[in-house]
Order: sequence, then structure tokens, then C-alpha cells
Amino acid sequence: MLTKFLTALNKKDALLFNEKPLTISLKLIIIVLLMYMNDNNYLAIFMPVFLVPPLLFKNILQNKYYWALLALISAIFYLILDLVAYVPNHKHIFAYAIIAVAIVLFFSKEENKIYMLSYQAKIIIGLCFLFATIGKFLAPEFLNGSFFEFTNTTDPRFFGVTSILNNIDILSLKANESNLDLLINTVNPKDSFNLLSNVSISSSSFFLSYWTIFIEGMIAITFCLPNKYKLAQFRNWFLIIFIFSTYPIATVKGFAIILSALGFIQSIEDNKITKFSKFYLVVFVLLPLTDIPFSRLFNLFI
Amino acid sequence: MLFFFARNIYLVQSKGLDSWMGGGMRMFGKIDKMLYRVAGFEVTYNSKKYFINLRSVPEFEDEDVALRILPSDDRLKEISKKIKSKKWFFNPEKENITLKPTSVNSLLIDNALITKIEVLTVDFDAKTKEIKLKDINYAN
Repeated sequence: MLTKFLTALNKKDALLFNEKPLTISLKLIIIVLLMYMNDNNYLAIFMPVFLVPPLLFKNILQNKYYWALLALISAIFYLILDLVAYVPNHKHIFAYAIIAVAIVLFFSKEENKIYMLSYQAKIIIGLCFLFATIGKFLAPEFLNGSFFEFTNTTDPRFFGVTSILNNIDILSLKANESNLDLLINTVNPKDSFNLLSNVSISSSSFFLSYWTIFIEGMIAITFCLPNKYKLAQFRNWFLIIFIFSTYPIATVKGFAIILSALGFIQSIEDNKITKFSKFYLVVFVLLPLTDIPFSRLFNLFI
Repeated sequence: MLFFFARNIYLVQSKGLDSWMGGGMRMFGKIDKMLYRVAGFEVTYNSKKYFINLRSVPEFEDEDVALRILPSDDRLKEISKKIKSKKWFFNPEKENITLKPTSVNSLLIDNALITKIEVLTVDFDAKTKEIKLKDINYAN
């Protein structure tokens, strides 16, 4: 079935690839917004009305005034009011992507549009990972491994892998989660508890910290470097390694899906879809499957 | 993007901004984040101190989130005023303070008894493995 699916993707007359890469790119961004731009009641009600038409009508999809209005809406909610309500970093990336499209549609010639959008997608990914890497050097608890020791033993998304690799039972990890929940809901600020952990978790957390710095740092370097540098040619491989090593364990779906969309856009070369573009597209489509608790299922069988 | 990164670093250092927020892209770095922060206020009643965690007051959900994201002096004072403008009740059976009377014996408290509004965050000591709360900022 998978083979048939991939063969269908490769056929020149496949419906999707009759579309220009620019059209597919814009549609991917619209789909992301349709799925995730629903932070409050106003957006949840009005955005689908605003976002479905460009998926149906090409004139709207490539209308620069439409994207300018979308840029304004996203800037208000995600860039201006971002310290008032809960606006995670990937919502900022949504706004940057929309603004990038608006700039391209307003200021680029028709033949340069996809090239310019691809360039902007590359820079957005590069800067995002550059700041993430610098941020890790600004956090002492990340550098000494205690961030991952804390996160791996209190955040349920990591419990499966943590228990398999470090010989600790899920019940201990669930106790940590429950104690942390009690602490943040406390009526006594003097409350405290002891984390259930072990030496193996401390060691693996230290390794994980520097692996993360390495892979995020390499993505930052290769995406920010101009194409003329040889290292820059490996940028997609580093991003793919990051996707494979991160998403099955700790997917922040909003971040993952915009990263896949931007990955698709930046991997377009000479107005053509590359094998990397197809990979990002498959990731984009399969992302909902990350809700399956793979590591916990695996735990049931060992 | 550079502006939001620079602003993030400045606000984290000077105003206690959650480093994961504000478009700084510094997620998965520090343990301290708004999800693990606690915002609340202290009431001294009958010589005893009571802490009211804003997570338990649905009417103050927006203020709770705003405080946990950016517990600046200005924001603390503004929300402190709002808290003090409401009527709070002490339930002697449950020994808690709520926004609405929860029993016939609930007593209206004098808002002058609200002594402090504060934001705390979890603190993990990697050596002892102890997790406790520590102050980020407060206002009287």
C-alpha cells in the first residue's frame, strides 16, 4: 500500500504535482492555519470562513491583498498581543510565514516568487534553530543535564522512552507527574517533593542535552549558510534526523506541522519539487499519527 | 525575528518573562515555564496566612495566565488592584478563601487583609532531587 502511495506521488500526472510548487506551498500554509489558528473563540469561528475560500479558488489563494489581511490578523494575535495570552513560539512562526508570503506576492516578479519564498522559509528555519541553540547555552540547567532529567521524568510524553531506556517503572514516573501537578495547584507555597529518578536517567539526560545542542546547532548553521558552502548541502539531512529523533517522542504538533510546511517550501529547487519536498509532504500528512503512544505500546510487549 | 529574540532576552532578565514565550524560540531550555509557574495572593486572616492559587479561581483565568507569562511589577500591581476590588469569602469549615460564598457560614473578609500577590516557579535541585517553589516576583 505504501509502495502504491509513493508510486502515485511520483507519477507526473499525479493531481497534486500538476499544481505549481508555489500553489502547493500556499495551500500548505493555509491548511496549517485552518488546523491551528483557533486560539480563541473569535479565531475559532471566523478563521475557517476566511481560510476555506483560498483552498477552493486560486485567485484568492494568490491574491496579495488577501495575504496582507491575513498578515495583519496574525500579527495582531501572534506578534502584538503575544505577552498577554498564551502564544507559543510556533504561532510566531505562523505569523512570519504569512508575512513572508505577503512580501513575496507584493514585491517579487512572477518567475521569482517561489525562489524568494523558498529563501525566506530557509531563513525562518535557520533563525528559529539558531535562537533555540543560543537559548540552550543561556540555561545552566540544560547544560548540566538537569532540564532533561526533570522533563523526562515529569512530562508524560517522555515516559515510554524514559522507562524503556533507564529501567524505571512507569508508576514512578506517573507519581512524579502527579506530584508536580499537586505542587502547581498548591495552596501552600512551602510544599515540595522529591523526584523519583536514577543515575541512568541523569547520565542519559546529559547525553541528550548535548545531542540536542548538536543537531539544532547543525540545522541553524546549515540553514543560515549560503548555498555555496558545502555544509549547506546537508541541511535537509540534519532536519530529517531532527524530525525522526524528535517527533515520535515529543511532538509539538503546531511546531512540527509548520516546520514540515516550511521544510517543503525551502526544499523546492528551480521551481521543481525535490525528493526532500516529498519527504516533508509525507511528514506533513502523517503527523496526526504521532498521537499514537508508540513507546508505551512497545512497553506493553516487552 | 531578531527583535523578538532580543526582546525575549531583555524581558527574561529584567521582568521575569517565561523564556519559552514571546517568540524568543528558547523552548526546551529552561525548566521554568509558565505551565509550571504558580500565581496567587496571600491573605492574613485570624493570624493565619492563606495562599489563594489563581488556578483555582476560574474568574481570574486570564489574569493567572498573564501573570505566569510576564510577572512584571506593573502587571502584578494592576492585577492586585483587580483582586482587591472583588469580594472574597472565608469558609471556616474548609478553611479556604473563595470568590463566592461556599457555605452559609462563609464570612466576607476585609480586602485590607490581602497582603501580597506573588508568582513562583518550580525549582529542581539536581543533587537532592528536591522540587520546590521559589519566588519570581511579588507586589504588596
